[in-house]
Parts: sequence; C-alpha cells; structure tokens
Amino acid sequence: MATPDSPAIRLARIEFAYGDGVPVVDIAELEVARGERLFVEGPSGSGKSTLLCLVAGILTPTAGTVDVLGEAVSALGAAARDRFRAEKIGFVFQMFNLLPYLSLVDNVVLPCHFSRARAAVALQNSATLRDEAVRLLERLGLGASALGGRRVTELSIGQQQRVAVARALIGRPPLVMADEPTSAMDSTARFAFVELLLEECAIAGSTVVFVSHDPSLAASFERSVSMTEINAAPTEGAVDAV
Amino acid sequence: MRSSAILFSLAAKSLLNRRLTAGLTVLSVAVSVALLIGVDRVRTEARTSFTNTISGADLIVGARSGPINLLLYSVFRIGDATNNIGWDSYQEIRARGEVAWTIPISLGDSHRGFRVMGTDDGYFEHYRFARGRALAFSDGDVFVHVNDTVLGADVAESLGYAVGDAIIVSHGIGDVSFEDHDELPFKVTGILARTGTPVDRTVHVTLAGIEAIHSAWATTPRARESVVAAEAVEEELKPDAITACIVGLESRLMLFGLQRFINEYTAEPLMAIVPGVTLQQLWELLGAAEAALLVVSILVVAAGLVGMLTTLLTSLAERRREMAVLRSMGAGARLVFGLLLAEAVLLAAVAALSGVVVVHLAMLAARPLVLAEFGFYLHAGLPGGFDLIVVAAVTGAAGLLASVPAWRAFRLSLADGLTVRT
Repeated sequence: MATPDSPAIRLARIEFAYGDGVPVVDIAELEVARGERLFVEGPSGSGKSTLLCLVAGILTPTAGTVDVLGEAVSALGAAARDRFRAEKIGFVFQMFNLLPYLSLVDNVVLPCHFSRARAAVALQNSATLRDEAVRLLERLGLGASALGGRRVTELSIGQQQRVAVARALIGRPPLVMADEPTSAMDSTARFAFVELLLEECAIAGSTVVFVSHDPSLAASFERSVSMTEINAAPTEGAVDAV
Repeated sequence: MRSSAILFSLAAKSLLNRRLTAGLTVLSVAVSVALLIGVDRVRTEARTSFTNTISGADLIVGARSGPINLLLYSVFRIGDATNNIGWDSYQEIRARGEVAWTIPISLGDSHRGFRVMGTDDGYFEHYRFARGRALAFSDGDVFVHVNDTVLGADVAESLGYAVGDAIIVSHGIGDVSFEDHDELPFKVTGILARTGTPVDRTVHVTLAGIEAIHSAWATTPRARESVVAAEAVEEELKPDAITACIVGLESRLMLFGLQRFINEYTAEPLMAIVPGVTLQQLWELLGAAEAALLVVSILVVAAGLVGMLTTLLTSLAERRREMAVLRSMGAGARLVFGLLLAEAVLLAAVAALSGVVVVHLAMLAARPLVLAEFGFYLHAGLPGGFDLIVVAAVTGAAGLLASVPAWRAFRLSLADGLTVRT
C-alpha cells in the first residue's frame, strides 16, 4: 500500500542472481527515508548497478521484496514496473546519457512523454514542456545564450551530465538515482557537479541515491553505505560493467 | 502513454541523425522499387501501344509463314517478309463479296532509316488505330502522283521535312543504303498527325511509286514530266506483288469463311490472320520473358530490403546504450521493439514512395527517346493501383523483416537493463 510516510526505498532480504545462479546481490536490509540523500560506495563489480536495476524495477529479485515509495515494485508486472519507473524515478548515468539525435531540449523533455504525471508537474512550473526544459537547463548553467543551439554530441562531458540532471529532474520525480555520474570528470568538476545535483534535488524534494566507487564524494551526503558491507554476495561472482 | 506518436517521432529523428546510412538504404530500396514499377509500366505501355496500333482490321493477309511474323512485319514494321502476295491473288481477294475494303502494303525500301511503305488511298480511308481513330493530316493531303509521298509525324519532325520538299528513297532497309535511287526524287504532299504508332515512322508512297523505284521507269521520258498521276500510269507501273494486305469485311460473321478460303488458297501459299488473336499469341510468347523480368525485379527489391535489414542489425550494437537510456525513462522493451520496427517501416515507405516518384519522372524524361527508338508512347500518368500495391508490399515486407533486428533489440534491452554488458 502506498502511504505518504512509507520510506522511499525498503529492501528486505533480497537476493538476485543472473542466469548462472551465482548470487550477485544479497542484502538483508536497506531503508532510505524520503528526502534522504544516500551515498552508496563500492568498487566496480560489487553489485551497485544491479542494486539500482532492482530498485528501478528493471530486474526483479530472485528472493525478497523491493518497496519503493510504498509500492512493492518486485511484485508488479513488467509493464507496471516500466510505468512506475517512468512516473517516479529520474536517472543520471555514468556517460552517454543523452540521445544523440535529439536536441538538448528534446532530451530533457523526453521523460514527460513516458509519464503523464511528470508532464503535469512540469506544466505547473512553465507554460509548455519545452519552456520547463529551458528553465531547468538555464538553472543548470546551460542557457540558450551559452549553448547557442549546439548539438548534444558537441557538448563537454560536464555539460552533458548537467543536461542529464535536468532530464532526471523534469516533472520532479520523487526519487533520483545516479550511477557514477562523475566518473569522467576531474575532481573539481566532480564536487561542483555533486553539489549542483544535490541542490537541485533538494529544490525538487527528491530522494537521492548516488552510487560511486569514489569514497571521497561521500562527505557531501547525509548518509553513506558501503556495498561490500551490506552485500553478502561474493564480489568475484559479479559481472558488473566497468 | 502516447507511445505510437513518440515512437515515430523518435524513429524519424534517429534516422535523420544517421542520414548517410539511412539515405543509402533509402536509395537502394528506391532504385529497386523504381525498377520493379518501371518494368511493369513499360510492359503494360508496350502492350497498350501494340494493341492501339491496329484497330478495325478483320484480317491481315500475307505469304504463308508464321502468324506472329506476319503481324510484326505488316503492322509493326518489325522484321521482314519472307515472301510476297501475287498481284493477281490480291485482286482476287479484293473482288470477293465478303470484302468491304483492302489496304495493300508493299515494304522493302527505306529513307534515311525510316521504312517506306507503298499503299493506296484505301490506307488513309480505312486504316484505324487506338480503338477506331482514323488517320488525319496535320499538313497537306493524300498522294496523287507516282512520285508523291506522305510522311509520318516522326519522319517529318526528325528529318525536318515540310510539305513540298523533295526526298530520295533508297532500296533496302537501314540508315546507309548501297544503292540510292537518285533518279527519282519524291515530293512531300502531306504529313500525318501523330498517332503514337509505327505509322509515325513510315514514309508512304503509292504502289506505282514503289514500282517506279525498282524499274527503269525513272529514266523514261514520262518520268521527266513533273506531274504524272498514279492512275495514268497504272498499267505501266502495275506491281507484280505486294507484301501484305489488311482486309475489312462486310460482316464479321464472314471472317472464318474468308480466312479458310485464303489459308487454303491453291494458286500460291497465302495466310490470313485475325490481328487480335495473333496479338494474343504474341503476348503468350512474351509472357515468359516478362514474368522472368518481373521476378528479377522482385528479387532486386528483396535484395534492397535485406540490405536494409543488415544496416539495422549492424546499428544495434552501437545503439544498446540508447536503448538503456530509453528503458531508464520507463520505456518498455516493447517500445524498443517498436522503435526499430518504426524505423524500418519509415525507411521503406520513404524509399518506396521515392521509387514511384523517380520512375514516373524517369518515364517522363525517357518518353521522347522511347518514342523515337521503339515507336511507342510512354504514358507517365499519375501513379496507379500497381504502384500503391508495391508501396504497401515493400513497407509491409520491411516491417516483417525488421522484426528480426527488433526482436534482437528487445532481447538485448531486457538483458542489458540499464547497463550495457559487453
């Protein structure tokens, strides 16, 4: 049952194994409160990305339950999970976040095509979805004057990641998940980016789950957990992408 | 979710982004579609043109050979006669009660690549083409004198002749003749209006004129007179034989009776054919070649579509990341499937439609050439039913074929989730 005071994420005794049957993720318990900013640290292959997929409903656990915003995601059907993800979650990836054939604004607007709820929220702020995208991009320092209608592929990594943040935040999804979004940046840009992301998520009122192998970023977050501590599955069994 | 709208919008933008490969794919499919439609179009145009060449004739009579051969050389000026009809036999047929009119045809000479045909007034009076249209003069009038000539529209146009000009007819057929009958120049008395049939490419003279070309008559004093009526020298220049004749009957009920009479004619081996029936035989003969051509064109279209399939499949590897991003935004794996399908359908539809446009433009451009070389008129009209069927079939086939890469993308995106495994 979805209740407003239910935690943003609750994992209870979840296990996940790919086809070969070797468990990749085995977490006894993990709870993230609404509005919390959680940092999940762990080396590559520790099951971080698999964890994100489980929360996002891309994967379903082989055992245990995943509750997100009071909804038992692990019990939903595939189409319902897709819909749930579209409505509730914004993503920022490591790199190649943007579709090369769409303009900056079209990239940012895209989630609203998959979720009416997010489109409706976006339209509370601006007259059109495009206006809202432009507003978000400007807030993130990507004004039309600075970019002059450049193609997505012509942007620097830092700029691309900021566009990805704007896209994750359009329509204010209650949960934002970031998967190593700073791995291609130098350390100054890295901290500035994390600050910007957290600030914007705070304005949107979104819960943040930030996954990285870089423990130095943990200081910016309210709470930090280590994958190697919470995940009982053997790391060497993982086939996480590098 | 307005998923079908977003689907086609994404597919179109993605294709535009890859405009070089997409463009090449469109080009190859478009060319193959143009070929297929072109083959069909030329086939039907050629048939219409052949069918339109002769109308209202009940029988064609010639020396006994093959019916198709007789039809081809007498009406379409393709190939040559192997033998002639004796003048007396022709007179006997002409005098029969069933016969309403006859048109004699005497071939074998040429003028600068155009065939010369000896005939009489009956030709201008009785010859019909394109469902009963009669010959009309665009300038001048029927020949009267031995050395008068009436030109087809193409002859006059391509050689730049006008009424009153003098031309020289050579013996034999071809651009270059070994002997020119310089002695007897012919005077142009009339030019026929365009018919879209071999008539346009024919130089018409009197039967007496044909005789005059071949006899020593041209050197006689009478030929020096500027006006010699054909009738006046009828006895002097009476032909021994003609190549063929077209016969019109009083009643079509008498058709088979007369045909049998001619086919069983004992004085010399003659043959009478019914043009429509023989044309049908010709189609049956050509049918196999046409079918082969059509099959080849269909295979070329198939090859074009397989090329498209290859392009889509190879693009998948580099697009897995894109699919993962779409999935993260709540796109189902079904949308990924649909996206590839939509791309294929868009590519094929654009390609097929451009193929239709290209073939119609090409036919418009080729019209004068085809008319000059093959003597038939290409009607590059509006796209017809066959075009629509081809566009629909190509688009449908593309959708069907694309389900292979689409299914692969579907499986990959399910397996990849949000991170692309390599």
